[in-house]
Amino acid sequence: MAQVFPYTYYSCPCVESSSTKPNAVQSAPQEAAPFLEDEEENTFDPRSPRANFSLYPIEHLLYCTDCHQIRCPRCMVEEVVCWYCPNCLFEVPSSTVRSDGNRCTRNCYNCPICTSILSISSLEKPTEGLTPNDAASDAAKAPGGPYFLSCPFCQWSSLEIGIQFEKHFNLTSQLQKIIRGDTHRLGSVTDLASPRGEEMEGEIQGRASVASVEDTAPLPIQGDTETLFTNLYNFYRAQLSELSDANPYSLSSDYSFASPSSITRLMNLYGSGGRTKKDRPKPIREAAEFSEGQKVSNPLSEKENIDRIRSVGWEGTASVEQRLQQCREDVGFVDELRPLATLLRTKKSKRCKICRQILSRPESKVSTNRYKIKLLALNNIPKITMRSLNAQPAQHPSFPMQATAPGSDEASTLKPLVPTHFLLTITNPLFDSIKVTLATPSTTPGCVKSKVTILCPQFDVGANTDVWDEALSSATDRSSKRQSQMLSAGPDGGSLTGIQAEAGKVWERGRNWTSIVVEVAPGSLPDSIGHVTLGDDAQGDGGAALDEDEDVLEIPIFVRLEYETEAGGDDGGAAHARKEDAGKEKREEAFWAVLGVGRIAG
Amino acid sequence: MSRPSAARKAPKGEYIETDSGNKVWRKANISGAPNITLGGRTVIREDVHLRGDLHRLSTTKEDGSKSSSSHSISIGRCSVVAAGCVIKPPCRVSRGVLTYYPMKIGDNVFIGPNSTIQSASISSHVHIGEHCVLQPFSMVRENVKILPHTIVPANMVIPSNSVVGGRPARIIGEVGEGWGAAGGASAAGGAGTGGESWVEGGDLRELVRSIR
Amino acid sequence: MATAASSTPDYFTRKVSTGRIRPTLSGIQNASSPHTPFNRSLSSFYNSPSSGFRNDDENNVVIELGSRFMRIGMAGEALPRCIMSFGPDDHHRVGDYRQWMPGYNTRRKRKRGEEWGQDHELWRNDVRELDLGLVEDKLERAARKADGEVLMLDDRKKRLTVILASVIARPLLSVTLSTLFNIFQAPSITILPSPIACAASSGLRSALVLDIGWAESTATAIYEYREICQRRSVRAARTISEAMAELLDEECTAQAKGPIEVSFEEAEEVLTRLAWCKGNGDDRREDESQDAPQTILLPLPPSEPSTTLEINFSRFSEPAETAFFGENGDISSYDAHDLSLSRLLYNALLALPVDVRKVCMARIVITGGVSNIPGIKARVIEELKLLVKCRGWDPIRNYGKATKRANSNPRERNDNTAVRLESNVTESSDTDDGTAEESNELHQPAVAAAFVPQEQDPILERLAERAAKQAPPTVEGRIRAVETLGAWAGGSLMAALRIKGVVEVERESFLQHGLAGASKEKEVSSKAAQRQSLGPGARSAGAERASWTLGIWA
Repeated sequence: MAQVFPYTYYSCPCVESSSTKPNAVQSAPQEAAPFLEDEEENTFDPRSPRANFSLYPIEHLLYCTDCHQIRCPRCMVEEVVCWYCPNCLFEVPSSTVRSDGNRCTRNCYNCPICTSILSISSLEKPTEGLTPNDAASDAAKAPGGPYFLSCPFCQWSSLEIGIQFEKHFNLTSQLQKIIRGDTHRLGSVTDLASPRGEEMEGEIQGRASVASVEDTAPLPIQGDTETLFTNLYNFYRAQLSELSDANPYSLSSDYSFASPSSITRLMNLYGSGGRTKKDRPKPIREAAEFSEGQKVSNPLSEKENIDRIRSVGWEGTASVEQRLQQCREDVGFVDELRPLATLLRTKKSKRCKICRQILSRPESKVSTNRYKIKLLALNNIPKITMRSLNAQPAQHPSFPMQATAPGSDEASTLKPLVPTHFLLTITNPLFDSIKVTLATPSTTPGCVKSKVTILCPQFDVGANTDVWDEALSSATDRSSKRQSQMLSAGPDGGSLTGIQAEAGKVWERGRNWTSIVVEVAPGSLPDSIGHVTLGDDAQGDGGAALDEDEDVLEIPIFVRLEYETEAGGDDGGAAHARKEDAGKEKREEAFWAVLGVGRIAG
Repeated sequence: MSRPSAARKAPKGEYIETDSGNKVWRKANISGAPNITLGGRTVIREDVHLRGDLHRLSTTKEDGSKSSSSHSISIGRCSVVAAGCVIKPPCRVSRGVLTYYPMKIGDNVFIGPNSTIQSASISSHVHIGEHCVLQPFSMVRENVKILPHTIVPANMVIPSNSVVGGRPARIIGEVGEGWGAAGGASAAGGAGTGGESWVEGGDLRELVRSIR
Repeated sequence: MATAASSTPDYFTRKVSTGRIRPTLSGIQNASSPHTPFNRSLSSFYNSPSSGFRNDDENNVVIELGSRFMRIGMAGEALPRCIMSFGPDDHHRVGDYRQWMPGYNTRRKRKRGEEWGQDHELWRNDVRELDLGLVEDKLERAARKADGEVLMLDDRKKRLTVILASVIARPLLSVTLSTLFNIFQAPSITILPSPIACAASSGLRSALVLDIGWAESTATAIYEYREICQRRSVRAARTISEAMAELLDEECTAQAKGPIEVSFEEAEEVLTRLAWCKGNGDDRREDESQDAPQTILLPLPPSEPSTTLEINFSRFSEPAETAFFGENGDISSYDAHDLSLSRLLYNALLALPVDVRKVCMARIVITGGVSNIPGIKARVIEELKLLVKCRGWDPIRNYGKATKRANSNPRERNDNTAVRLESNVTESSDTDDGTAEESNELHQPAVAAAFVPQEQDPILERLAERAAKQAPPTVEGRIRAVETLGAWAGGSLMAALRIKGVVEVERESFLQHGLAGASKEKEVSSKAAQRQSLGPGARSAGAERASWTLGIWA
């Protein structure tokens, strides 16, 4: 289930002005676009594959008060305010974020198998589990001895891949030493001849002395790739610098006769002259050996891998997801997976892409949750909710008080071809009353055609004034009367609504909200075919002939608002605003919304 | 702060309402009530199991000694614990002794039915779906949505403004900036409005009021 | 590419514009004089040591785009930061978390009229049926997600390098560029062809890159960083994935688990985890490792109700067999685009001029996601060797009647025939009797052209001697496979070394004119100088470009 029914999605208008639209290829079929070419206007199709990318729940939308438009993540520009580790909540300074690979360099690691956070345990007292968070506080009393990482969820432990740590802090550098140390033992020991090699050797020894962790299993994969890459990089760099060195006659005015290069130049001038001919630069050569980054394929290693798959079986191989998480596609086996340092998260401020106004800006401290600026769509466009008029759901869909048996979702199951009434409520967050015009195609798009009629497509919604105004006014009278009528009608209010839901009349009205009735006659599913051919499949998700979610009744509704408001100081919204005489300006807004009503029963 | 056991009113309906407006279902299973604090206007539904008896002991006595002053569970204001939940303070072996640690649940937290909570702390404006398991010492920060049927592994910290789901839980998205904002309907005393005025992660006062 | 094959590479002929080189001290030193050491201490744990050299004032992002995955990361690192897929689960609405709910139906059926795995593709090169808006949406979301959740770039200047297949439909190119400009707000985007990036990441200047992609496998011959010839086959990852699904379906039915239609995800999972490839014609491997279990227990589907299949291990080699190598029947009856991988390589080699071929055949690079299936690389090379052994380098498969006449003068060839023949290969129209005779004798394996010793040429020898002083000897004339780190790593290397690509698209001009703003390659004479992509001139940053070209994508 996508979301609990009923739900409302708002379509950001930015899809229409999408950049590919103008220069799209002519042959692209029109049906695929979310806007069907009607006679004069486009109808939004919530079923088109593109619609998924332009529909948002309202809490994800912001509102640009300069452009007077909804802003979705696509039409916002994000700027990172701060980086922090979601696990230890340590704020990482921006200077080190990138070089750390956007990962936590403290003690936060995720399980390579199941992604849950790993805890550090001591080999001495295996019952003691230290969380990374209170590792510092417990440091004094923590038992000594080698430590390892273990997963509280799937019981994976770093001992399985032969990793253990001497200290229970600074794991990142310890782990790196273990992996790198192995790398060098395996890889670049071959090139000790070149000066680079010597230097590297020094490094290896340096590392080896630090990484005194014995008994580690070979960790070839990452090492191999990284060493190869480093070797290649150094090789290319050397080649490129040689290339530029090969031109002693470059425009350099400041070399003196004392410099060795001047001597070579003079020698070349008066010498054999071999040099002058070599004006043409020698192209860089290719890498020739492993130390330079070239590795010749070894068919034997592939054979080894085959035998390994055969012996470890399904469980021993790494799943696609695990491979993707490691970002290394050459990892094949579970024991080649490494614990992953926790990826950082960010706080972001968001700007309107068009006018660059800041739409939301959180406070930069990790611990606070406040915003300096937050221009919510919720506070600027009316909120649309829908619920069934007759069948009151037993409990609020997102606040279930009692456990529901799976599949007993009666309220959101619709009977085909039975007209049902729904109550559409529009709540106005603005301080001006708005005039709302709703429009919807008479049949929903998609292969299950349901009939939808909005009984009162045009109405007013009161302003979001002070709460006490409502209490004082008698506006609630009507609604309470209506409610009492409903209550008296009892559970089978069908007949009642049949009488009362008159076309052109508002059902109920409150201070800043108005409810109207929408009549829906769900279409019938083409079920017979499905049931016959693929029996048990059909029960599960309603008709084998249907694609996923095609039995969900979603109503696209075009919402248009008109309201008068105090004229803003600037003319930022000039396109939408028309100056009126009395210092008021008239605004108009329009957007598509999609109401998910329920699933049609098969 | 009032203790439900201390301030019982005359029985009225299915629940006991305290002075501060806490509503505790009669069928709720509460042990160690003195160690439990409810912040006010908090709802505990039927068959909820609150294990207040599991708390840090001052001595290593076997039975819960009432002399120990430590709280084991504290729940903030306007939080709702739906039917069938088990709320049990987390424990671990420390220096060879099994020790329970206090659990704190913030304000406006909704815990869906049949969930098992063993977190160290749950901050405010958290929405937990049904059939969730929050394993010991997990920490849930503010404005978090936990999808139904999620298992939050032990020691996991869920940062603010995130949506988690899956088994084991992982962060799968962010709640929007508008999380918890009711959009105009909030301030209204409009329990009688066409739509309910409470939203996930928002102020649950109205929801609490509607429960009767 | 075909036209480029005839023109000699102008790599060496270009003079370096010395004015661009900064007159640093090292610049005037000789190559042999002491350098500043290249190795510095590691700046961080997460990067390869090389990343310390990066210019730190900008975000150097490298993106590789394929039809199913996007790899994205920072230049100078060995591995991409993340790999984004384009499955249906990545394309739910915001706030739609259904894939995390229990009982979420991953066993979704293929949509009507869709090809295998089509809903996991970002795009396909056949744009007639393609909704470009949808491509943009998918790409947009993936790139935004990668940027926001993995890269987390700060507001420093961004440099973008995009690695694309060397043949891509122009609308797709246009969509890609506009989307990436839109999201990353980079001033310019450098586009690199993926075969060249692969060659670079295997340390080679010339190579024959076999990229087993999703929709097609391409064999691209590269000489001195220039694509000169490309051959393609539809036998690719999709074929093997579908074959794996068929195998699983078959096993399900056979083991009476009911007719389960294996979903794409399941087939992919099994393919990546268990598939392997037999060596050339060896079935004896079956007996070799008797101690190892012969069958694999396969939980299928991974979700409940869980079923366990017991499948013989050797069966998992069948998909690779049928998808990549199977050649039942006469080769002449095959579609020109349905060649087995080894034959694809062979044909690509055959189309090369002989000088290029001798270099390329020793530098075969096999890449692509499926090439990680163990045994595939070895098998391709084995089969290629066999093909060369049997057929030599003869472009003509069947001589018909000419075969008989060939035996009449057997003495004529001996030493230099092979050499002569090789030089004739490029003129494939030259099929007169003379050539036919000579080449026919090559069918005796002993005289396969590749193994005939070359004629002694004193001039060449001296040239070679001189060359040997400067460079280590190059391997030529025998078939050899070289490992690569993949196209992404190649792009990362090239971007980290600040090598200017041929195709660099400026944001402003692209947004104004779109792809139409690109000048044709021929018109931009100044571009030729820029083409020495690994030359010193390339390192001069900030060379103004009045116009830009689409290079091979034009």
